[in-house]
Amino acid sequence: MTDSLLSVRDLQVKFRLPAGAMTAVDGVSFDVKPGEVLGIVGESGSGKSQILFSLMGLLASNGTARGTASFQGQDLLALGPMALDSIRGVTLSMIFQDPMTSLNPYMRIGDQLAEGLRVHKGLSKAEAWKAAVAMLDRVRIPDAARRARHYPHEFSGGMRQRVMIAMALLVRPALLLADEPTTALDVTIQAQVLDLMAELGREIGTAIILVTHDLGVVARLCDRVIVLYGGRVMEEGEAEVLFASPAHPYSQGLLAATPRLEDALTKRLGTIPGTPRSGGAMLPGCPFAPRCTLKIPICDATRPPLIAIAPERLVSCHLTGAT
Amino acid sequence: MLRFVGRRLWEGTLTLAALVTLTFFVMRLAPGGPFSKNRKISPEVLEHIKAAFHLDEPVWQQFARYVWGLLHFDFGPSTRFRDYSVGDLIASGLPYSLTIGFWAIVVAAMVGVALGIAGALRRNTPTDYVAGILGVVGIAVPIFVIGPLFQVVFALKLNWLPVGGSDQGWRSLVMPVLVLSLPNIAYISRLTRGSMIETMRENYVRTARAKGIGARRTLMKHTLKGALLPVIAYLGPSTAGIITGSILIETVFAVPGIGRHFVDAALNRDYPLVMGITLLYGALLIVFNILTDLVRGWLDPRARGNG
Repeated sequence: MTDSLLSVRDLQVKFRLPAGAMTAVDGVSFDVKPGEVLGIVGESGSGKSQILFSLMGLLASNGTARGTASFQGQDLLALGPMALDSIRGVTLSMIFQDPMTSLNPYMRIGDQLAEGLRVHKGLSKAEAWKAAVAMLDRVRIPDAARRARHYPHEFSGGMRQRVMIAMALLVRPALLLADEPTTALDVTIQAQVLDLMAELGREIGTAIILVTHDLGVVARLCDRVIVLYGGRVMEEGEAEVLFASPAHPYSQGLLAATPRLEDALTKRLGTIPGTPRSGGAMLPGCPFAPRCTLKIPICDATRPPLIAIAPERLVSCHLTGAT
Repeated sequence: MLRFVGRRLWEGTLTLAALVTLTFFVMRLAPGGPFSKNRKISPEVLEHIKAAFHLDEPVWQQFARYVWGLLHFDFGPSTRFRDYSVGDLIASGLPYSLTIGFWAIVVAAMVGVALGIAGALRRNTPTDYVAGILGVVGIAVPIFVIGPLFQVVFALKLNWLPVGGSDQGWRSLVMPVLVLSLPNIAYISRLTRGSMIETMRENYVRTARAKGIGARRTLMKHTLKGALLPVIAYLGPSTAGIITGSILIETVFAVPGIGRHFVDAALNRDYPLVMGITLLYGALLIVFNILTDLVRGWLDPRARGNG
């Protein structure tokens, strides 16, 4: 896959904790092609957000990332802070989970947007401000010229996330990392914000990695999907194919646990028994084995390799070979 | 903004009125009187002295007389320092206390904030530990221990500075200012360090880092403002306390400021002087609180608009 924009290989993210080392991401590999939207789904604690933080060099101070992440010819994981700053906010941007706290409360919205352009593109204050206002207009902030002079607390949550989107895309990055961008928002505006992000991404030609636990969001926006559990890739494939025929027992469970309008009155919502594993030592076998209803003895003993069952379709399950 | 200041000044005036009333009557409730510590004098003479200070009148009449005087900026005569009015005493002592206090707070703010930032940026390194130890020492060791120590080293051994007094211009100021600033340096540096560490964990600082604007700009434009707000909230009221003098500093370094009056006047039951000093401190506290709120409003847009 030489046409990849981002190529992550064997990514490991570990945290030093008082109780010992905790592995959040365990040998994850994937590719992002220019302009595509890749979804990473998983439950809380599956390590999905940490993948994004490690790419941005924003891991907490007790976290370390190993492996390689080749982005436009440079390994993001090997760069120092100075070199990283010529990529972050230039060709690689990020949108965070909580728009209420992710904007600087002491700075005008327009200044926060203009800042990146002034630092990275050397625009004058007036030019950068003009571009910021234009971008606010594009994310449909009404009366953008006046609103740019306002502070974050004068914006609603949905508007703040649109401001974050504007800020991230203003520099026209090649890749946008979106960490559960709508989790903190009211359900009624989630779709609106996501559509806006995807639409602008398409216009600019930005590829997006969308991390979420919401399968509906993935189905709506993503070209390809990676299903993550316990810091490992369970399954990967084109969104349509994966949703139509999930191959991994975990993906099957996830889909069964998604509410559907037509079943709302007749069927009980499916659940996956047990609770997601959090921290602790890595299991020798499949991380999902303790909760898997189809478990066979080998699942606890050895890790299933990630194998291709079709083009662009990878599954990590001992049962896949057997069936 | 003008309305805000106006309203706060009006509230401050009411506070001062309450302060005057309360202090006046609480003072009279305390046992003893201005002349009970004097050597034995005949009852007739005492009567005369009391009459001279209107202490023979009923308390409510004394109060009315005092308030009437205040409205004409007359703080009354000192019962202890004969021939001096309270206004004279404050006017002669305040400049010394003000000068020492002002420089002490300037030094404390600059050094304390710098140490705090350095400690937060180099957390758990030797820099941080040294700043931390200095902080504990500064808070824990009292002025009456550090003061004489400085006098022995810098005045008597090295002969760089005068031991005390106020007759050698800036050279007389150096030691009182330094010693007075030490506990404040310590406190401000701990406050700054904690607040910095907290702010560096804020999501908006992470957003700034994600913008790739560099560590320096992230610190200057994003982290610092939020981190310094608690420091400013502390600086305001404590400035009022520091510039009204410290009895310890003024005693150790023989400075003729007003800090010593705080304690002496109360012990001597010098009613008018106690009132005058309390009023001065109260007024300064109110003014600095208003100033603090103005600065906070200027720094933090969320603190605006309710005034």
